[in-house]
Amino acid sequence: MIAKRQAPHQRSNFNRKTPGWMIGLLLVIVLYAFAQPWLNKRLGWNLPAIPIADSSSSPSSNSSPSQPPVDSSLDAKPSSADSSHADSATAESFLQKVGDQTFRSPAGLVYKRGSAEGHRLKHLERHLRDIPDRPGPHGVFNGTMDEFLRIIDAGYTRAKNKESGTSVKNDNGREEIDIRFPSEIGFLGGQEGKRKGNPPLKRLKIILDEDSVITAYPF
Amino acid sequence: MTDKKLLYIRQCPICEQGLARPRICRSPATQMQEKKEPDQYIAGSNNPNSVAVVLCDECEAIWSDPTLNERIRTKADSDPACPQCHQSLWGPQSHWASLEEIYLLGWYNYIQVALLHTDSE
Repeated sequence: MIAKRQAPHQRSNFNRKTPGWMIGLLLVIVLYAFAQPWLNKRLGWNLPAIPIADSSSSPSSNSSPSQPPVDSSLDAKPSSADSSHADSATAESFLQKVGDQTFRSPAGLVYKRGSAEGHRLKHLERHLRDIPDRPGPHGVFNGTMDEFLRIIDAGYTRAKNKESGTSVKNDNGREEIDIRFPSEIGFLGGQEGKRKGNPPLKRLKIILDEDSVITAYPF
Repeated sequence: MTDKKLLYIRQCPICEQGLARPRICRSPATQMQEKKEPDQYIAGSNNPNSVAVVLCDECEAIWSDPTLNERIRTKADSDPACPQCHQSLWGPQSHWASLEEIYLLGWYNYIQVALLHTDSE
């Protein structure tokens, strides 16, 4: 008897509350979806991404949902040393292919095979995202691979012209180029960055062996 | 996402960004010797002809031992090279030292271990 009286009341009450509650939940989900990549990159957190069914998205973007979409063409290629011909897809927009897996920038910098990642471009890609667990500092560039290559070129040109805010040091036949920029180009990641609250970075280091880029990173 | 143990000695004193890490080079001659006498060697790690160096994973500076007192300046093209066989230390004959190899080298006391929760070293 009681159950019969209460059931319609509960049902109608639920129906009245549902739209507001659902809208609130949807708002929270949408806000989280937007904030999650930024928080992960900026604060070095590891918040899980919300899986969104999207048939047009590439396999590479699905494979690393917590990372910002910094450079899909480099993400898509396998990490083995023998597969770096796929670099050309990204590099061709700014770099000129001058040999087997060898690219030259407009300023004359050469990117070729080498490093633990198999190709210098693949190594640079490491500096497009934070590695919060990595001991010590890890300079992270704010932007895409294409923007990173352009800023490396711009910095190298400034240093070659001996502009203020640049310095060149020699070490064992290698050049260590230090370029200061007027505004931030990245932030400090790694364990040290995490400890210091990921402060912004305005300097770029480029290490060259003659005209070959060994590495470059904000610091 | 996988957990990876990253074995390193210290932050690189040259670039102050990379990590100085033990790397083993097994020249083709060393590998042939191991094939001839497989019972003599534990996965190539105790072959006296293997060369161990310390290599910065960022600027690629090389040292002969974990004290980082003596720099090695061999290069193959623009890659860091093994002081014995002169092949690139990024070549297929070379690899980051395992804990077992570090122990056999007597470098264990210099080693720090970091646990990475990402797929990047």
